[in-house]
Parts: sequence; structure tokens; C-alpha cells
Amino acid sequence: MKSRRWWLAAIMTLTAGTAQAYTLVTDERLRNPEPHNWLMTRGSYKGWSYSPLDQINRNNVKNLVPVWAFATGKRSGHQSPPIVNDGYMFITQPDNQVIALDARTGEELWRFQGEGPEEFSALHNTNRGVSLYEDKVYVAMLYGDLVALEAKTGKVAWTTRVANWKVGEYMTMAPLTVKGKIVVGISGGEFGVRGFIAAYDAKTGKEVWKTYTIPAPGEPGSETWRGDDWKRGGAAAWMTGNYDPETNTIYWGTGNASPWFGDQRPGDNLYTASTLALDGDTGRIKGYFQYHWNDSWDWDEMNAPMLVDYTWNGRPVKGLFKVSRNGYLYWLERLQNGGIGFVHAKPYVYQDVFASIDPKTGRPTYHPDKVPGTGKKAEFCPSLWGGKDWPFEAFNPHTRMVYIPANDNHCGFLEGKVQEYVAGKWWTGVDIPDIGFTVKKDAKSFGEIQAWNIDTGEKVWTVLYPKSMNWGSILTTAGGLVFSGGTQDRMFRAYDAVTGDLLWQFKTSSGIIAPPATYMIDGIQYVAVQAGWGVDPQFQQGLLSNLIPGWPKATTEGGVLWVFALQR
Amino acid sequence: MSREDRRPRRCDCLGARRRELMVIGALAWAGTSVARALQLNERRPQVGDILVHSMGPRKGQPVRSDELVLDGPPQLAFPMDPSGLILDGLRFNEVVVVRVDPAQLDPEARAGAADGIVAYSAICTHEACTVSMWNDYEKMLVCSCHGSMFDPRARAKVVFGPAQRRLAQLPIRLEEGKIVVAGPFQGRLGPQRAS
Repeated sequence: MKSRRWWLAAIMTLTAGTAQAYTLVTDERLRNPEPHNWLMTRGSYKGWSYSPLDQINRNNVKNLVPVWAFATGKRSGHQSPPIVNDGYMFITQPDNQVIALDARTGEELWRFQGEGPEEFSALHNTNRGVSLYEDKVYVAMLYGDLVALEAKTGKVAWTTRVANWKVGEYMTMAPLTVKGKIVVGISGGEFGVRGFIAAYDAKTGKEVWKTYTIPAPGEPGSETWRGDDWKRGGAAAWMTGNYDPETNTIYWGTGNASPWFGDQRPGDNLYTASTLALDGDTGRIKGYFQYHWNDSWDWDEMNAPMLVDYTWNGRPVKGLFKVSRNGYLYWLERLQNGGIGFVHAKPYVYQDVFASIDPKTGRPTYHPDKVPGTGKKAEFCPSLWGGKDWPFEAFNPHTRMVYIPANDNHCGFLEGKVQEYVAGKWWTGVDIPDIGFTVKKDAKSFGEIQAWNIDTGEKVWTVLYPKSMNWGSILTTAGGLVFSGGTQDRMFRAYDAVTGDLLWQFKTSSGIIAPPATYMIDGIQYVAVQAGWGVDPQFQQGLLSNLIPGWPKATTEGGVLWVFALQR
Repeated sequence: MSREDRRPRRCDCLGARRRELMVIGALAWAGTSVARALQLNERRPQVGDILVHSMGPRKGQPVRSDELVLDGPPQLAFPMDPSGLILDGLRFNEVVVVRVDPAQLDPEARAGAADGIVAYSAICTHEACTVSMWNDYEKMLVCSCHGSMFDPRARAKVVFGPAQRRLAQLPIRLEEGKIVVAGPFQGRLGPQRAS
């Protein structure tokens, strides 16, 4: 029996005079989303973060102005894109809040406030958005509940307990809707969880399937674990997956192994730091690709690869493309049997851990002095935040380029110790004050946007940020544009997708670490994004301010949704 | 229980002694289970409770003043009531105990300290993570999630964010080397939030 007391106090207000009609979200619409809507976090099942809208384009973007804004009333890191369905917009915030707005006028339609247990603690107090199906909106609560809300009213349709916060499981990702099921994964890789991905019936909230990201003894892959290490081995599944409707395959990423030091859990440790290919109906693991075995750097590979076909050495490939936290780009293949094939990999930031990568399998070898262990200090680049953390890259089919929010010229050092396991407490093998973070002090830049041609495998242009890291998810459009925030100076910017030239920028209310989205209503294209600095970029900024003289210690907090359109 | 109590004892009537121990153990287990079922371990610390280790090899045993070395590292503890029930039913009851130079304590902190030993809520005021770590260079308490630092000499005021509010202090006194609660928490526990 699940306790009801934590969610019963949901607060709903209906401020709209007349609730407008709501367009049902069907499987067909999710497979072929209309250009004027933004129905899921990355725009489509392919995960391109691309919009075919082109009213706002490289020629007129200089005339972009804010048309309305909305204060969310929350602090901490805002990391959710506006999800837009025919005039309805849904945004989420830290502290388990969901707000529905009129996407044209900014009028508030309703608000939902989840109420978690008093003693809940949040390593990442954030949320990365809702998913839609039929007449409902789905959101994962930090404290472990999956909640279905009526899209028109915000009324709770059902609540299902997914994760047990008392053992360190929690949720931050946007759910993924797949054929009438709501798919979610848990966070908790710093608390010794055993990760899982699970699907729930969209109508009832009943569990349909649950797949652990670490096999139990006897299951395939269990031979890569020693003894009971698998029980607390990590591989949290904390970012939304992508989906291939043709083969009914969900691609979902997994996080770091736990604790952080590989010598405390010998073996490859499947399926940590991997992409899993799952059957959409059953959750059965059809295939996987592990980016680095026996992870010892806290390099989660939680983002699912984009589904994008490309040409490699003259051969058309039904492909996957992954920008990895370990500092490498991976060109992968969707195999007929549901498996994931390796095609090619190359570094996109300075990486000094891999000695080689097997050209057939993609399996790396390591420089032993770059592998931290228990009582063994090692320095390595990039740092645990990787060449790119969770923010989304984008693919534009017109330019054939992938746009990557990257961070370079930063490294880390770690030395492990054996920490006592206490359920729900930090359990990585290193204390927070002992996490080493360094930067190249003579570096000309840290944050970047990199543009790579996916067919040639060559970098085409780079934007460098001399005075900031980049935590900005990217949106690209048929208007030949790349939109991104991500810097601590609170800017929101538009670049020429072909050349990387800066075409427009606007100073918002706070740093932008949420993905932008675009939509069209009554013939007007809008670009919308939440500003709201916090969580890891804020923590990293504090460390940087101790390392680089003059680095700003903080960027102001507080969430505001900004909506832009062309000046009329 | 003192160190002497834990030494193995010689007994001429081993079987009887074992049975006796088993009965005592069963009663103790049953008592604790009943107390837990009644949620007696879900009350805040009160005057007279004793601080016991909440983890580590001495889990459940009193934190002794002589095991706290000057300027850290700190120990995590739960209060234990006079009947021996550990008040660990509430996560927010956990405290972090550390010894600093008494001369460096500010007057407010000193009022709740004993022999340089101070106890603060181990629940961070930012996002409620456990303040379990120690910055050995600056001699500060550190949150295990986001690295907020608190000065144990100055009533745990924030010296590095993102926390914005100090930790609540739990006044203590020493009795026979044990750390005894001398008053309720001074200040708010955990973060202030809607959820």
C-alpha cells in the first residue's frame, strides 16, 4: 500500500475564464509531430532538438524581442523545456511544480504543486519536463512519484510510487510516452542505487514493465560483476530516452557505476555508462553499447544517442550519434536485430584517459595512471562533468551538422576511499571537499558550441566562451539558426547554423540551463526558454571562482520563462 | 555501555549464560521492535538524551568526548533516550558533533557547547542532504551534496553557499565522557520549501 499523504495536498488553481479546447495527443502525432508544436523535450522521438519552423530565420532574427515573461516563483536549477500542444504550454520547475499556460498570451491556466516528504533530500532539485498522452500530462516527482494530471485542469488523475527516496532513488527526467505507456528512469548514482527503467500504463498508472540496468546473478551481463557489488552498482537512468517506432526500440542511457572507484567493483560492470536498446512493449534488453568499462571517473552516459541516418565512407548507415561525457563522439548503428553496432569514435575535447579504441568494437583501453582508485590518486581530463554533461546537442538536417554544448580545458583528480554504506547517504568513495577540479589557467576559453558535419566527421565551426562554462541545451531550426543559453552571464543567443556567427542576444533574468523550444500560433513563431540558474553549473561556478581570479562567484537565481517573437 | 562491559567474560555455566543472553537479547529486540512500531523513535531530542554514533564501527554506542579530536573530523550521531531507544525514526534528528578550540567559539555557540564540543543539525538548510563531511584545510563542516560550508565555531553560520541559513544547534553538556542533550534544537531544521 502506498502512502497518500505526500501528494494529496496538490494545489490547483484554475484562473482561465474559459478553458480552451485541448487537442488529444495520439501515437500518430507523437510519431509525426506537427512543426507548430513542441510535443516532447527534444521535439521528436529522434531527439534532434530541431524545428522545421522558419519564420524566424538568419535574416530577421535580429528583430527578435520578448513578447511576454512569467515568473515561476522557484529558485534552484530550471531545466525543463516548454512543452506546447496547440495553445497549451506546460513547464516544470524545481520543488515538484508544474504550470500550464496559454502559449499565446502567457495567462496561467493551472498550477500543480507536488508535496514531498519533509525529510526528503535532493542532490539535484530540478525537473526536466513533462510528457503528454491523450488528455493527460505526466511528470516525475523528485521524491519518486509519477503523477498523471488532466491537461485542461491540472487535476490529479493518478499517482504511482516509482522510486524509494529513502535509499537514494529520485527522479528528475521528463517521462517518455511510448504507445500508451509512460516510461521513466531513476536518479541516484551517488547513493548506491541499482538503476532501473520502468513503464506505466498511461490510463491507470499500473506498472507494465521494469528493467534493471544492472543484471541480477544469472542474467546476461551478470558475469561482469563480483559478488554482491551489483546490488548497489549504480547505472542510474536519469535522462529521457529516444525511440524508434519502426523497430519499437527505446534507446535509454545509463549513468556512472557506483561507488565511483572501479577497483571497489572489479569487472566491466554492465550496463553502467551505456546505451540500452529496449523493446518498447516489454522492456526486454535487445542490445547495448558500453562507452567505457569499469567506470572510475563519474562519467555518466545518461543521454540517449540521437537517431540520425548518415553516410560513413560512402556507406549509408541507419545510425545513432552520441556525444559522450567521456569526451568522445560516437557514430553508432541501429542493427536489424535491435543491437547497437560501433562505427567510429573520436574525441571532441581534450581527453587523456583512453590509450586506444578498438576499431571494431569501440572498447577503449586506458592509461593506467589516469585511472583513480582506492588510495590511488589520479588526474584525468575532462573532469567528472565531462566534455558535455546532460544538456542536449541538436541536429539540423539542412546543414547536416550536430551542434554540441561542450566544455574543454578542465580536468579532475580523485582518490578513493572505502565509505560505509548507509541507505540514502552519499556513497561514492570520495567526500565532496576532496573532489579535485582544475582548469588550464592559461586557457582562452572553457565553454563552447561545436558544429560537426555528421557525414564527414569533421568539425566545421566553434564558438568559444572565454568567461564561462556552457550548460546550454541547443535548439536548431529550419530558419538556419542555433539557439542557446548556458553561460553564467544570463545571455540567450542565436547563431547562424552554417557559420556560427552570433546574430542576436538578449540578457535574461538568470542563467539559462533549460532547453529552448519553438512553436507557432496564429501565424506567429515563438521561441521560449526558462531562465533559472542552479544545481551543478552553480556548484561548478563556485569551484571556478576559487581557481580563476575575477571569476564571478554566483549568478542570480530565480525562474522566469521568456517568450520571444519577431517585432511587428 | 563502557568498554569494560564489552569484554568477553568467563563463565563457569556457559550454557545457562548463553540462554540468559539469548533471552535478554530477544527481550531487547522485542522491546526495540515494539518501540519502533509505536514510533517512539520519532520524537525530537530532549534534555537528558545521549548522543550515539549513527554509523561506523561504533554505531549505536555513545559518542565519547575523548574520541573527538581537536579541529575534526566530526562524528555523526543520533540521540538515544534514557531507556536506550535510539531516536533514528526521524532523519532530521541526526546531528554532527565536532570539537573545536573553546577559545575560538563565539559567545552564542559557547552557550550550547561543552569543552569545545558542539553539536549541530546534520541536515543541510539548502536541500536537506547530510552535513557529514569536513574541510580539513579550513576546519569547516561541509554538506555532502553541494558543498555548503558551515563554521562550527560561529553557530554553524554559512561561509560558502549555496545554503543561505545556518544549521540549528543542539545544546549539549558532558556527563562521564558522554555527550548529553542540554536543550532542544536552536533554530530551524532543514530547508524551507513547498515540497
